[in-house]
Amino acid sequence: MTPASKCVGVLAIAAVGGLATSCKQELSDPLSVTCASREIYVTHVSEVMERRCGTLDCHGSDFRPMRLLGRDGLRHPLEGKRTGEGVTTDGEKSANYYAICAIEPEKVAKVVSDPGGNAVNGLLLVRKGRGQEGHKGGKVFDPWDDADRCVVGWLRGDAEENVEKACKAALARLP
Amino acid sequence: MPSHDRWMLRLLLSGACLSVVALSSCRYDPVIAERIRKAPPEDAEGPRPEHRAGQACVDCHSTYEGAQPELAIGGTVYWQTAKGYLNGAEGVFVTINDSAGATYKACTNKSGNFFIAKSDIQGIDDLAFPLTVSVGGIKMSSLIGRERSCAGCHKLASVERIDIDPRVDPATGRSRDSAGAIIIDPEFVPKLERCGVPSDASASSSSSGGAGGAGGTAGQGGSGMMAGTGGSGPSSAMASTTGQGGAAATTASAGGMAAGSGGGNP
Repeated sequence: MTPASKCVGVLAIAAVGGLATSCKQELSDPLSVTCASREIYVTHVSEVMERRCGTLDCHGSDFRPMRLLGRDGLRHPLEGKRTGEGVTTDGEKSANYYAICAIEPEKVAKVVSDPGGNAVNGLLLVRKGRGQEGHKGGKVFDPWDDADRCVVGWLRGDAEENVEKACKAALARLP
Repeated sequence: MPSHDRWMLRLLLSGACLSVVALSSCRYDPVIAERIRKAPPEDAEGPRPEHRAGQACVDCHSTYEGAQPELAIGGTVYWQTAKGYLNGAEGVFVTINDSAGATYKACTNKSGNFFIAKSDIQGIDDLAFPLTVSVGGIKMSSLIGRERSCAGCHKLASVERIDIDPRVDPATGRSRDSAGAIIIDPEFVPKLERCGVPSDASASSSSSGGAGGAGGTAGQGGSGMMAGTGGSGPSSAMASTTGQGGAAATTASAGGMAAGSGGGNP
């Protein structure tokens, strides 16, 4: 074996080893995201997202990104419930929270670090919802309508009572 | 011909071929193609408004597959016998409200099928999603965001589905990812929500339909377990539309497009 081929062999082994190590490290990391208040999401925002975005034909599907779970949509795979049974569980709301926060974790972290700032307008979630970015479901919110203020207000850290008011008004418009 | 011209010609031809392949492949949708491939075979009577009850209508009745008429939306409504079998619920209004303020009504036919053809959409090219729906006066609890085939979400039970997820309800098809069949109780459908057949006839078909369900066409969704969908009757359904923004409403034209013959529930 020539020195050159030995060198290539060593490099290949090192690369594969490095790759394996990095994968292992990522997989064993606990799930952590920097995101807006989980409590406000679960209490006020989740139902708006479930009912407006999480229908079975949209984000309530196993085959779509930003998968949303809920009572009238897709159910949690580990909880044994069927569509329409009971209520949306805490586990489902929690899964929805992470599904939303993990779309663009760095950008969401930036939004959270600047409460009330404008960075929220650049989030994919907001841009798609407003129809400013390609979205199969089209425009879902008008900028600063009730549903928009519910989601955007939560993300950028608005006062809980304002988020609650906007979410309740948005829900009142839904069937 | 000089050699460089021949090369140029070959290059142009290759480019043209590649363009044709690329354009034709744009129409291919693997999800719909798979659903069409797995659909149970056509009924013995062939294509008609009552055919393929419980299957995803708009997979084929669309520009994708080209079946006529092209549908804006379509589905199947059932009622459930005491033994749990499903039978097509005939003569029930399905009311669809779109986001542009238009209201459309369709009447279920003998197999429970209903549909609104694209040609029935007035004023604008298409339904404006999301939609709200009620069947026999009962509101659907969620919006329809984009799916035109009700069976896309309201799936019947099938052996394949139960193999994948044993929690699929073998009677209704309800599971963690499906609302199951659209089921109504004909006894509780208000008179104003009945159509196509007289209300007393609807009641009598309810009582005789149980046997029809048990002995009806099996094999919906491949299960062959529950879904007796009855046969094909001569009467049926067509969509009606009410105008937008308070414009004059048109009424249902029962039997307007029905072409079925013979059959009927056993």
